[in-house]
Amino acid sequence: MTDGLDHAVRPPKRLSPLTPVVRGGVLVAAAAFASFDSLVSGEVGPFGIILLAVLLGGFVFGYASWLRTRYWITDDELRIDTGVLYHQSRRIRIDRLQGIDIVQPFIARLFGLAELKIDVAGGDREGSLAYLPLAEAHQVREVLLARRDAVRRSAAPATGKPDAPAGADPAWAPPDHEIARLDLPMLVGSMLLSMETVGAVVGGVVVSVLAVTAGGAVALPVLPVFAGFALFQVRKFSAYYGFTVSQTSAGLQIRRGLLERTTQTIALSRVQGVLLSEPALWRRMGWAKLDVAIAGYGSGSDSEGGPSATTVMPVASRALVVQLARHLLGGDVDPDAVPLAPPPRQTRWLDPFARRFMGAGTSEELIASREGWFTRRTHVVRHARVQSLRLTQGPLERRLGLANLHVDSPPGPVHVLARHRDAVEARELMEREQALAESARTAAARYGRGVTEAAPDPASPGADPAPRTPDVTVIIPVYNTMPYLTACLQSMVDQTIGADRMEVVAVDDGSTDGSGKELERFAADHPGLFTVLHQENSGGPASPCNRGLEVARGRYVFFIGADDYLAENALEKLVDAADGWDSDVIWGKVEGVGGRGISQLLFGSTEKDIPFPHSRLPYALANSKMFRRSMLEEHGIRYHLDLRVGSDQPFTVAAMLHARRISVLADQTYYYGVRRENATNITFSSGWQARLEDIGTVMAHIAELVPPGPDRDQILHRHFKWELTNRLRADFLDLAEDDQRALMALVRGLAEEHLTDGVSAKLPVGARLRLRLAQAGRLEELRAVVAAERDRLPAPLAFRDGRVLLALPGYGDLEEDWFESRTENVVERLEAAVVVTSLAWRGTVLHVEAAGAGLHPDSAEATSAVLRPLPGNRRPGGAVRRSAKGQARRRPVLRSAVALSPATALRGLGTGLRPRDADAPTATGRPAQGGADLHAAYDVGDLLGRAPGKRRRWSARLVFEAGPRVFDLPLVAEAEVPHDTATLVRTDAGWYRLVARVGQHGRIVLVRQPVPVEEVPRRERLRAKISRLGPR
Amino acid sequence: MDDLFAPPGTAWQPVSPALARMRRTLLAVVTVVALLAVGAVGWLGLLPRGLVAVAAALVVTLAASGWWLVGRNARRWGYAERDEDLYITRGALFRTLVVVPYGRMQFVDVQAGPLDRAYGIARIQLHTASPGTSAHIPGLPAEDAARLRDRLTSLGQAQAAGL
Repeated sequence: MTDGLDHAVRPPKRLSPLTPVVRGGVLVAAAAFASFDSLVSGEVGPFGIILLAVLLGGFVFGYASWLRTRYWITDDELRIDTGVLYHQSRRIRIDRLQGIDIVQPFIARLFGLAELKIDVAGGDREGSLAYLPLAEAHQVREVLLARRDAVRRSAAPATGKPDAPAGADPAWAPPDHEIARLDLPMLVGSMLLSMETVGAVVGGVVVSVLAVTAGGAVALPVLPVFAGFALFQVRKFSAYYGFTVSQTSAGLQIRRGLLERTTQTIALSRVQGVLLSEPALWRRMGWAKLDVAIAGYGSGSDSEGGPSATTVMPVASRALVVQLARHLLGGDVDPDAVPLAPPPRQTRWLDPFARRFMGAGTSEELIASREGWFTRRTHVVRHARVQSLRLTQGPLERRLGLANLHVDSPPGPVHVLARHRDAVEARELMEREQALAESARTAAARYGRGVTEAAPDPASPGADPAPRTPDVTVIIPVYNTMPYLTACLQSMVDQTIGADRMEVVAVDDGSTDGSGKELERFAADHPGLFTVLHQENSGGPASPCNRGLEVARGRYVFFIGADDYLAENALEKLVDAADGWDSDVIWGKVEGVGGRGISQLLFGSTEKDIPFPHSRLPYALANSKMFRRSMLEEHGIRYHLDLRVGSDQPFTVAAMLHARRISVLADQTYYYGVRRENATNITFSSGWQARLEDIGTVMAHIAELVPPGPDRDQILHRHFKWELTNRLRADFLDLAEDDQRALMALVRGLAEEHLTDGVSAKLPVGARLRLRLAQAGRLEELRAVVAAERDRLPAPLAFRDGRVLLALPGYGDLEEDWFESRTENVVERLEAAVVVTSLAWRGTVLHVEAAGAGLHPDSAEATSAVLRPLPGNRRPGGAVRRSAKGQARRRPVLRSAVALSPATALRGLGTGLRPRDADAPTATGRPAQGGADLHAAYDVGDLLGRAPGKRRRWSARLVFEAGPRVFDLPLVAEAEVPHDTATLVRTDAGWYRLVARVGQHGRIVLVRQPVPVEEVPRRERLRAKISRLGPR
Repeated sequence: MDDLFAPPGTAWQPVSPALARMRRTLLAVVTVVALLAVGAVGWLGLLPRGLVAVAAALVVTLAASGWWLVGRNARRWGYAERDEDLYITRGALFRTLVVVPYGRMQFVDVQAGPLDRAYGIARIQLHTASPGTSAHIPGLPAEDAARLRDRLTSLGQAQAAGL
């Protein structure tokens, strides 16, 4: 009969024959001691016989055991067979060996023997060979380690990079910087609020009560308990005093201790899972504790060996704990965001309170569970670290249709357990988790990212030498961008900077159209240039970009959309410019391809140093730029994962805020932004809510980066002016009323947060009005304004109270401040605002009627009609009067008030606008929206006496005053106005012809032409004579 | 078995019937010894007859229920080898289903006590980096155990996925 254990071809090796002696040594010594007196006296009683029998039996057994124990070292495994009665054959894979220790207990040392303790990755001491002669032990160790390295080297992935933590290139190492510190009040507070303290207090009360009632002696036995408690607390205090967590290039470093300073370094690749604990007493204060499970031999500089649980933070605010957890789990995951579903209702039969505190669930990178009423514990593990899965079900659970899912991960405090789940759901969860863990493992193993196998330490001969640092890393987040992806990747290959100075990290975010295959193809054709990472779809470019940042090694990083491409010399020129100018952020002119429009405002000319945010930069927050990587690492700038669209904005803002210099190159086109043929359009009606939430999140993230004040206003005003106002355009009217109200509410929330006076002042009136109306919740008025914009109704200018206002719908009813224009081009509007419709002379007065569609009747007081002498009028003597400053002055020679009345014809009644009765009073008693009819009277009589006999010309103008701003524009006539309206006038100085002429560009010019008496028609002369007799 | 513990493929591979036989043999031996002890106690008169009779009845009842339990338990053990992982199920009252991915296995133990060897069966145990992994299959025919162990070891190697 076989014993199921075949025998290898190679002859087995044995341990030292002295082993049973060594093992049995202790037994012998004990026996000798026990029977000392009987040995001395020579008597051997029944006890002695039994002892001898035991000793003998022990020896026999030990010898048999030695006979039975053999070991083999083959090419890929170490095999150890043991066991006399129970045969055991253990096979350990050589590439799994973590470390081999040689230990010499006292007795073994006497015989020159040693024990070989073998550690396997992540486990306890899993094998040992005891005892071998010392020299042989060393030899076996060498052989095993060498074989392990050889196996590892041959199995190293082709495109993988050594598992170096971000920023470990030799040219630059990030400075250690402190992430968290436990300060004394919190430590003391947490200890006071612990169960031990509560127990001690209760115990103290009980004891004192007992002491009082039953006498002091009763209390005595309890005192040692107190002493123990006090000692425990003192040790705990001393251990956690000055607890500091810092980020170093080797990982997370923890320093603590009052009397004895302990340092521990956690390499992030060794982290298996985290445990967040929130005891009941701490929950009120919002405190939590973070423990981490670390795998592997020699975790930390205390070289304890074997698995260990480490407290990363004994107590801290929950937000800080979550941040640390995120960091430990790999940076791009959010342990708080894992949805934890409570167990089903029938659980209450087993555990009535379970549903309130229990939960389990998965996210794309993590699986987590939570339970515990008194101390709430949340266990979080990455899919890639899951070892095996176990589904269990007891009889009661079977009755209720429940089951438990255990997630086995390497030993430590973290045990993810989905307890009392619905049975079907539990099985599905198990299958799903199996698949997730599988893909996470494969991805990690193939691409060598972080989750490598017990990362070879740099000193071992198998490690690759650190490759040379590239100048720039191009990061491409890829999701279903075929066929444009090919051009993008090709432009990377064609870069003139050369493949040895650049690298490309492309992250495939779970594409389904073959993009992943295309990436692989390029990677295969150009080894060393492309690093391709695959991951499950994360829903947006943020996670892939973060991942790219983690593995990037270049001095600069450049983000490019997977459907765009670069000019051939783009990277070379950008890197040279950035090096030359010492820029932290730089980019080049962008050109739109395929119908995609790119605003050219910002790329007018090459600039070396653009200030942020007081420039046009808030309108250039896309991340298709080149960033200095050391700056990003120094400030921990990453993409927020909670944004599907717009995650590049807070990233770019953060980068620009910290950048010492921001530059732009505009001498050529660097970046080609391609419009995709089938660009999916989210229709307004279906996507507005998500879009608004995204905008809100973007603004909130930006607000976190910049304190309130002019800087924040300068950045955020773009979002109000651009993104938010765009939600309130014509499409808004197509929504159902409930949706309109909901949209308004969302805008209101953002306006309450961020629409400060500073921002408001920078907005055009149309935008500001809509936002303020949304903020006030006035749907009717908002609709009116949106409709007016859609129908392109003119908005007349109103000059009032020293301000320029734009009379949009609602003017006269709503707050006047909302209508103030600060950024519009007033002159442009005025030029088209007033058009002369008729000219008529009555005596020496020229009456001008004009239609002021762009002018509001409110402006009457601020408007005056003015005649200015035109150039060509010479003063007597020929000199031009000069002012005190030496400037030529032309004094207005005539100024008279203008009468403005509400336009008689109401214009632009488009749909949605209620027709307004022009005479109906508004809330403030002022005229409502609408243009004005203008009447100006120029009485030229006083001018007739000046410079007699000379021809004079004046320009008829209108002057509008708005506080410090004065607008002076000529009157303009329509073509239909009859030219050359003239009249003859007789003065003491002679006859003049007064002409109102429509001159160049339609401008009204008054001409006073002296007329010799002879040319005056008889009739006129007669009339003049008669009129002189009568009243003038 | 209900859906929750259904095999991933067509059916569970059962363990050898020799397991049940071996365990029942052991049970029988223990029962005999216990009955002898009870009988000795009764014969020596240390306890009243009635109590002895009760004790004997108790022993027999335990043996009978044990007999049945052993059989049921052995029937409930099953495993299924798939491409990427191994499924193991056990238990009647307290059921368990364990999935161990090949890439995660650290090493594989095959154990056989003297009684196991007498019946030609062995016990295989899989170890991962987690001590919680309780993936073991007792009562496999000895050749199957060896074959499975070799296959698992080589598969685990092929899919080395690190810790």
